[in-house]
This record gives sequence, structure tokens and C-alpha cells, in this order.
Amino acid sequence: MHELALASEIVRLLTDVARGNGNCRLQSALIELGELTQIEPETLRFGFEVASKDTPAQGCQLVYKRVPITARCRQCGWQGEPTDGICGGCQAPGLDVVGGREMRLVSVDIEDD
Amino acid sequence: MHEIDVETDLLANNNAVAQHNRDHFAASHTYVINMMSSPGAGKTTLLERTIDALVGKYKLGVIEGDVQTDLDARRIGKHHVPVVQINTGGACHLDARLVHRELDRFDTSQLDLLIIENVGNLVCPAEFDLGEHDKIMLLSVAEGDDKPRKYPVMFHSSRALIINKIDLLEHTNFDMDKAERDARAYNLDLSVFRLSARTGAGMDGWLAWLESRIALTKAHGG
Repeated sequence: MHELALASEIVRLLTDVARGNGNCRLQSALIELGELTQIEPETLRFGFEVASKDTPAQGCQLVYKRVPITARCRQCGWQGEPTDGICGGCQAPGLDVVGGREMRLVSVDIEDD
Repeated sequence: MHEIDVETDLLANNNAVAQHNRDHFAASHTYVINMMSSPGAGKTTLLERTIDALVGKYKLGVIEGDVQTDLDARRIGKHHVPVVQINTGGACHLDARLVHRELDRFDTSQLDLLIIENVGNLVCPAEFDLGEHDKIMLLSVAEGDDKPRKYPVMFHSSRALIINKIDLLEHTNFDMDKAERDARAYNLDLSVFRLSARTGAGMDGWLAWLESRIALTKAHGG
């Protein structure tokens, strides 16, 4: 249940956004989640509903963008979306991760007065 | 309606405190490891063996993370090293703030090695940087060789993997090579040690590696 810790962090960040913009209402927040993180999106959403109650973040919709795993091969320089840690170029096992570990609040849609 | 860019890591807060811890450890040239595994993999037994082997040579300290009880801290305390227990009170992992709160209880300027034993869990501890130099993953053969594939993040974020309880190998269908290959799939520089903390078999390789890391930190700090 580390999702609850992350949900509290989202509430904190969104509260800052609301306060920094004249206590505006928040419509939705775009969250980037890499395929190599072990975040259960629905658990995060549930945790957020609990953690945001009676805060400026309450009612804000979480919108997820999944980021695929990208990896690079040390042998041949291939870069792309791998299957089971195998290089898509030379089939060598073992790759360096370039993307897929993201856990970010990208942007927030706010309602204008 | 309009859009506001935020572009902030969800762990930014934790990472900032972790960096603070890291600076603290770098200043005192203390090598710090974060030991992670599922419950029952043998973290505390490995720790006891490791402490017994190194205690005459280095100044050690231990932080024990558990959901409840100080059973592990009491076990470690019998080995004549300073130990602090953190009870997370339900949380499934340690975070940088929990560790930071306890740092005053050690004179880190006197420590060569600080071992942080994380809460037994194969998912949550991986994402939370504590400010350690290295994450060390412990997997026991009784858990099965499919764990690196099922819980990849823990294995991908570690500097070393210890495969423990090799004395039980003949009673299982654990495939060492498969476990190693899968653990290295996105972690090519992973060091792997096969040992039994209970019998002591294979401990030498792990201890030599650990000593080399302590020496490196002594020489360079961070």
C-alpha cells in the first residue's frame, strides 16, 4: 500500500497548485506512471479519494498516462521497447533502462472563474 | 479552463530528504546499505552473521525497520552494536523521513557501516530512496526462482543480490541461473552472491564485497 503515501503526495502538490492560483477548483491532474513502477492505478485513485477529502484537491480527477519501458543494449546500441529484457536488435540478454520508471504529476487542468 | 504545468516527481519530497541523509553519510564517510527482502528471507540472520564477522574490524550501526515489535532490534542488540528500531505502525516500507528522524541517535561520524533493514516486503521499499549508497536485495531459495520476474523493481534497483538458504537448495526446484538472469534483465551491473547465512557457506564473497564498498566510501565519501 505505498499508493497511499503517493496519494498523499499528490494531494500536497495539488493543494499547492490550487492555493497558488487563487484557490481555484481543480478539474483534473495528469499523472505519468512508468511500466516499471509497481503502482496500481485504481489503488492510487482510491487512496487519493480518501486523502483528498476536505482539501483543495477534493474532486480533482486523476488521469493516467502509462509510459512504456524503453531500454538500450550495451552490445549493439539498439533502443526500444523490449520483451523480457532481451535486446530487440541482437537478442542479447540484459539491457539498461532508459524510460519506464516515471511517477510524475505532469499538469493540472483548473477551472477559470 | 486552462492547464498548468507542474512536472514534479511524486517522490520529490522523499528524494529531497534522502539527499539530505546522503550528504550526512558522505560527510562522515559512512557506507550505508538498505537491505530489502520478503518476510522470512533471512535478513536478520544474515545481519547477525555479517555483524559477527565485521564487528572487531569496523564500527557498525543498525536501523531496524518493522511494522511492529522490537524483536529484531533485540536480536541485533546482543551482538554489541548500536541499534535503533523504527516501527512504521502499519506502513509497508521505510521512507527517508523515518530514517532521518533517527540519525541523531547515532554518532555517524564514528560509523564505518550503517545497515538499514527495511520492512519485509517485495513491492513497496523499492521506490523509496533512503539516502543509502546501495540497496541490497535478499532472496531465499524457498521463495522460488520466479520472484525476480514477479517483483522486478526491487531486483532492478539493487546493487547486489544475495541468494540465501542455499543449504535448502536440494529440497526445492529453485533454478539459480534463471533467478540470476531475470534479476539482471534490467540491471546488468548487479553483483550476485549465493550463500547460506545459517551454515556460513558462501559468506566470504559477500563479506569481501561489503568490505571493498566500505573502503571505497572511506576513500571517497559519497
